[in-house]
Parts: sequence; structure tokens; C-alpha cells
Amino acid sequence: MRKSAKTSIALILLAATVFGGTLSLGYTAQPSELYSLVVLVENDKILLNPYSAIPVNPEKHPQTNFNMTIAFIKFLISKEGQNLIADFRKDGESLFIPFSNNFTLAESLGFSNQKQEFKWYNSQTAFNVVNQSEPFFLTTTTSTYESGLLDSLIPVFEREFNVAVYTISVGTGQAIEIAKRGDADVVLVHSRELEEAFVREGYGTHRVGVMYNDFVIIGPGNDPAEIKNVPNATEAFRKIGEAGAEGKALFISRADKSGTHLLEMKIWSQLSIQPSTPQHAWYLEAGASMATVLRMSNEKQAYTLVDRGTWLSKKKELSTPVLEGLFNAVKLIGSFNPEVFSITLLSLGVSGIAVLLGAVVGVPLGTLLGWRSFRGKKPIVNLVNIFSRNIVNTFMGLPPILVGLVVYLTLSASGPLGPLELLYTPTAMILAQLIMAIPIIAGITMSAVGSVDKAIREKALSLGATERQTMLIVLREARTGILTAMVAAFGAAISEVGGIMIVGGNIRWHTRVLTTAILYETELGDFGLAIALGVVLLSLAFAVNLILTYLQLKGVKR
Amino acid sequence: MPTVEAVNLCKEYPGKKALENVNFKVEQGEAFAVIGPNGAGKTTLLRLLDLLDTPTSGTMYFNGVAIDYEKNLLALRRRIGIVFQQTVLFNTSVFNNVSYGLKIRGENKRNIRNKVREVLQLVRLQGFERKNALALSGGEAQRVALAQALIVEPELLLLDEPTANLDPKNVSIIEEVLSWINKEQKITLIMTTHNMAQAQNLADKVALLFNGRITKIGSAKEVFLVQSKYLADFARIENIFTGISKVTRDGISVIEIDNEVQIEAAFQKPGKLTVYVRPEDIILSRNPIRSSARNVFRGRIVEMIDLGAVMRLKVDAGKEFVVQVTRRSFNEMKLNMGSEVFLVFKASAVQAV
Repeated sequence: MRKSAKTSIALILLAATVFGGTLSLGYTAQPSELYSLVVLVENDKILLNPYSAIPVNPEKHPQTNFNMTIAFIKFLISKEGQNLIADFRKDGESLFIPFSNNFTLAESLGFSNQKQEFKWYNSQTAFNVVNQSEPFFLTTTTSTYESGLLDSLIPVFEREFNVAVYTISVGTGQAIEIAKRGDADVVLVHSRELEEAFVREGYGTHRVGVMYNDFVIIGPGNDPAEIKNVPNATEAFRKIGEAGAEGKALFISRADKSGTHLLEMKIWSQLSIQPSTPQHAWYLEAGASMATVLRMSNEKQAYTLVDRGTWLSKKKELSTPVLEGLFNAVKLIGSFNPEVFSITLLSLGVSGIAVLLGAVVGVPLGTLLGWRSFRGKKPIVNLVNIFSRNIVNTFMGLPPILVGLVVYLTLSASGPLGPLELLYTPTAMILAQLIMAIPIIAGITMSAVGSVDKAIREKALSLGATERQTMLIVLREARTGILTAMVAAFGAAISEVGGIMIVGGNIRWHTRVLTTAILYETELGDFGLAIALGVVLLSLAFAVNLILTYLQLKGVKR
Repeated sequence: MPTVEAVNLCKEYPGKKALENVNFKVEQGEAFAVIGPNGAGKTTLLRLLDLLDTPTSGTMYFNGVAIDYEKNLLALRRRIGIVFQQTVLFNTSVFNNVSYGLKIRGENKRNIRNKVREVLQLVRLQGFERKNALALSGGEAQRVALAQALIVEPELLLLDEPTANLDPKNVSIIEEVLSWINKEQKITLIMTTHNMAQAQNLADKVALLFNGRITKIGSAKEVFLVQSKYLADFARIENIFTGISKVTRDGISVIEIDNEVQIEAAFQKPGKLTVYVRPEDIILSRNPIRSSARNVFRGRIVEMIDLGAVMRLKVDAGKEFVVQVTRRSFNEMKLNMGSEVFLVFKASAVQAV
């Protein structure tokens, strides 16, 4: 157990890099077989994609920062915000169109009160009194985040209002779920049905149209389903389904309850097609972000539905070779990139503190359980012993994602410890890793103490040691094992991803650590940063092992 | 008043009686050896004496006071030292190992340093303070263990086969130390051993322990003479043989052991007799050598035990003999399991018990 945890992630990373490299080399050797993805169907009314901002209802969740929410939405729909949205371009093309004063279009897309909302927001002056010390949580969709739009909007807002905006980007469905639990102040999403339900159930106050873009259907250049000149999206889907059934085409679905996914489902249901069945080999449900689905479509030469913003921002990266990623990685590490540095520091801090706290609990616990193996002649004591040892051993293999889920539900605003407002903070991440570290430390300490020769204990007794002095000498003899326990726990903690992803939210500059960043940057297709972080993680694991080996050698030879 | 007195001491483990009605007295300053085969209960007895175990029944007296196991035995235990058969040392420096007993008694640092230096000198390990105890040879480690027990100046020192599996140099150092602390410091010793010569040299009184019972207590001579037929059964008493002795015209004795083994001895004792030869008195050679030695046997190596500088070999020459050779000779002679060798020893090396 001890070394495998930390080395395995490193090995997987290495293997993935090598494997990925081989794959891309294989493809480039036969360029004629790979068609670039192109837009095949666009400009259908059903494909229009409006984004709304919705404040979380302060009556439902009083801890939310409603004033800041109003300030944020006012900023989004102000002239400044709308201009920023209009000016945001990727490779010369704008990705989002602000509603500005086009109330007719907004109304036709379901924002019936848009004019009144704009008027109301413009009359609000509450910003001057907002509490600036509290962090402000925005949940938004991956498509918004991945486009890069928020990077040009949020810093401006943060500067103007001197506030830290914590952005959690997930699918629309998930974003709304998080807000329903009271773990966000405002949502910026794109699914009319879910949004209306959110407001209807009283969790959100009202919908404000911020901007829109549209969806497009993309597919490989050779267009095996022949959808290039069909009149509308619905017809295109029908033809993809037919071609798929004949084994000529593939369709990849987000399958993550995102706005994109919901729109896709709406189109299938208009055709009375239920694509999500095991029999439909042509319909692949990814359960992943838009950027990931784009890369999958590229690799598998499949059709998919994508918002134009993400498509425009990502299409170039699809052809970025892995070698370039490696090159970028070297550059990032060499130039001492501040983001890599901050991520590494947070990783070390969170896992380090979790392990130290874990040792405070785990070492005495493990000592007690290991020590009992010397005694315990009474059957009842034995039974308790066996039982508690089994619990510790079982919890040593605790799945991090499960810990994350439990900690999330506990710390969530509507959970028992919600009022502490710890969710999406490093404290929550330390807590999750602490829960994982304690059984590992206790378990290995337990066996280290238990395996100290009984003769050592008797030796101490025979030399006149008291019970307490005997325990201390046994602990001293087990010190290498205890050290191993802490290193193993650290290795497990720093390479863990599921738990801290859930409770930390992977918020840039705040709760993003090495593993969540690797996962995220890989999804975004930013292999350079992912590899750079992987190298850092691997080096940390190596350094920790080196220290351990040194201490072990020193322990024997001194 | 005896330092230790055992009255009807019994110890039972599930399904096994380890000690049955053991009675003995050890006077202050006496050296008492318990001799017996493996599994006779020697170690169990020492564990009872060191208060690590409680007897199933019977009473133990320490300086005339019966031990009450309901009470805290720490104070009493601090007056008794023990050296285990299997050397156990803490994974730290020799200094920390030796000083441990004093440290837990709250002795001040200067005294500790001085006493450690003295006791290491006694076991001839001066200058070993900073070495790691686990990096020592078997003999050195056992001497550290002895120093650990001695530094707290116990009234009673228990020793469980203190020299088993050690090379002759370490054996003689330990025996010298034991002799000195017993004769000069008047520390009471209780030791178990399988080595008759050791018992004879060190102990004032010897007890024979068989199957958990003491069958005989007396001086070494008394015990060995009367109980020789039992002694012959001791697998771990080396080179002890019983046979019929005839005195020849040359004035020596020829003892007929079974399996056509004849041993010549330089004394004149006829009749049934038990004799032994110390392993270090036997010369081992590859080829028959011409010498004045009267006893020459041909055999094969059937067992080899590595004692570091010395190898202990078991040679089957009709009877099994235990011999010792230095590792250097062992290598030079290219010895191995099954090698044919000759055993040579003088008639004067044969001793009767």
C-alpha cells in the first residue's frame, strides 16, 4: 500500500502521456483518414442559446450574499458588462451576443419581463453597502467557463467591488442543484426549463437574460450522415440516427444534464427517439464537459451538438499535438509560472496539514489498537479489538469520492454543518483528506506497533519500566513504521482527486490543487499545464520517498 | 535468609504443565544453575522469577517475603535483572540501550554517563557508546544486554542460557564477568544452561530440570554423577557419552560407547561411566593426521551453525560430535555439508562427570 498510492498516479500519468503520444503520432501518419470537424447545421431557431443570471432566493437561503448578487447582475447587464461580452473574441470571432436593449428578442426567447428587470437593476444602488469581506460564489456552466469569457468579465467586477468571486463550473443541472442547496449566491446558466423550475420552486428569485449565442451541429468533414444541407436541426438529428443505425455515423452526447444536453434531449424527443439505450451503439454518452466531448468527437469522427462559444474557442486546440503540450510544460515549469506555483503550494498545504492532523488522531489510535494485541485475554476485549481493527482496516481503503460526498453533504449550506460556511474552502479539503488520512495512519501504526517484538516490551519491563515507559519504548521501536504511515497517507492525500474536487470545487486561485487541476486542464485540452502539474506531482512523490528512504537508512545505521 | 525461595511452584499453560511442584532455595550471593533439555521449563522458571509471568499455584519468596501478584510489582522488579537467551536490544545507540534502566529510574545525566562507561568497560565494549545496537555482532549484542541488566545493580541477576550460540571468545568474556560479579559483587545469580562445563565453573549449586520437575539439586559434581544417565539424553549437551570403561595395562581407560565407538581417556575409572569432551578440544582435519592424540574418528558434517567468527559443526562419526572451527579454517578447508572429516582429540581432553 505504502508506496503504490503515490507512485501509481505518477505511473498512470506517464503511461497516459506515452500512450497519448503514440496515438497522435499514429494518426498524423495517416492524415487522409482523419477529417477535421466542421459546422454542418446552424441558424435554426431551436438552436438559439440564451444565458440567464438568477439570484438565489435569500428567503430560502439567508446566508447568501444577495446585495453582491444584485451588484453582479447589474454589472453583467450594464453598458460596461454588455460591451465586455460583445468585445470578447476568440480568433477574431465573437462568442456571445449581449441582449443589450434588444427586448423583443429576449421576450421571444422566454424573458417576458426583461424590460422591467433592466429598469429595476438600473435603479438599484445597493452596491455601496455590500459586505466585501465575504467570498461570492457563482455557479456557472462549463461552456461559459471554458470559453474564457469569465476571465475577461470577473476580474473587472472584482476590481470594481473589491470582492473575490469563486466560480464553480459544472453542468447547468448540477449548477442549479448546488444553488438549491444554498451553496452559491448566483447562477449563470442556459436551460430555460430548469431555470423556470428553479424560480417556480422558490430557490431563485427571477431570471434575467444576459446574453445568447447559438448551438451548431458539428461533425467530420466527410459528413457520413449527409446533414450538410438539411433545413433544420431536427431533420439533421433524424438523419444522424438513421446513419447511426446503419453503422455509418456516431453521435456523442454530453449526457451531463447540462444546457447543451437538455437541448439535445429536447430535439430527440421531438422526433420521438429515445437514443439512450444499450442497443444504440452509435449513441455515446460521455458525461463530460463540452471541451472533452469536442475532443472525443474529433478522435472518434462523431457528430455532436455544441454551443458556438465553446466551438470557436476550442476548435483550434483540437489539432494541438501532444508534443507541443510537452514543450509548453517545460516552459511553464522553467518560467516558474505563478499559477503552477500557487497550485503546488495549496496541494502541499492541504495534504500536509491533513496528514499532520491525521497523525495527531491516527498515531494514538493505532498505538492503542496495536498495543492491545499484547494483551486482550478476555474474550470480550478480544472481540472489541477485532472489531475496531477491522473498521480501521476497512476505512484504510475508503474511496475518496465517498468521503468527498459525505463531507459535501455535511458542509453544504442545507447540511448539518452548513452554517459554518466551510464548503469550497481549503478547510473543507483538509477535512476530507483528514478523514482519509486517519485510517491509513492508524492502520499502518497499528500494525507497526503490533509487530514490535513482544520481547522488546518484556525487555523494558524487566529493566524496570512502568507501563507508560514501556509503551513509549514500543512506540520508539515502531517509529519507522509510523513514519511510513504518514508518508503513505501523504501520498494518498496529495494524489487524491475525487474528494477534494467535490468539497473544494476546483476554484481557480482558491481551491484548485494539483490533481483537480490536472483533471480540469486535461478536459480543457490544455495539456501543457496538465503535464507540467503532473511533473510537479511526480517530483513531490519522488522527494517524499527520498526523504523516507533516507530516514529509514539512518534509523538502521546510526 | 535465602534471596529466592520457591515453594511448590506450578505453571500450567492450556494443555501443558510447564512446571510442577518446583522447590528450591538460593542463598544471598550464591550462583545457582538450572540445567535441563529444551522444553524442560527453564525459561518458564526464569520468567516466573523475573515476575513477567504469574505461577498457576505455589509461592515465591523474595528475601523472605511472599510475592503478592495483586500488588504493583514494579519496585520488586527493579531489584531483579535478566538477560534473555535471545538478545533483544532497542533500535538505538549502545549508550541509549545501556543507560535505559537508569534513565527510567530518573538517574542524573552525569551519573548515567559514568556508569555506562564503567559497565561497558566491564563487558569489554569500551568506546562502543555511539554505535547502533542492531549493527553489533551476536556476541557483542549479548554483552550489551548483560551491561543493560548490570548497570542498575540488581540484587538478583537471572540469565537464560547467556552463552548459547556464541563463539568461544565471547563465551569466556561473559563467563568472566559473571564470575566477577558473583564472587566480588556478591550478586546472586540464577542461570539456565545446557553447558555442563559452564555450570561446573560458575555455579555453587546445580538443579536438574526435566519435564517441569526438579529431579536433583546439589553441587555440580553430585548432580552430574548421580544423574548421568539423564544427562546423556540432553540433545544440547555436547559430546557427552555413556559407556562401559575398562582400564588398560597402559594406565588409561577405554570406554566402549555403542555403535562401535571407543573413546580413550587419560584417567583410570572402570565400569559404567559418562564422559564428555569440550568442542574446543577437538581438532578437525580433512585427512588423517599422525599425532600423539589417542582418539581419531572419521565422520561426515551433518549440521553447520554460523556463529560469526566461528563455525559450530555437528559431525556424525558413529556418534554425533560437536566441534568448532574458525570461519577462516572452515573456508580454507573448503568444508561443506556432507564433507568427510577426521576428528582428533587427546585422551586427556576426555573428562568424566
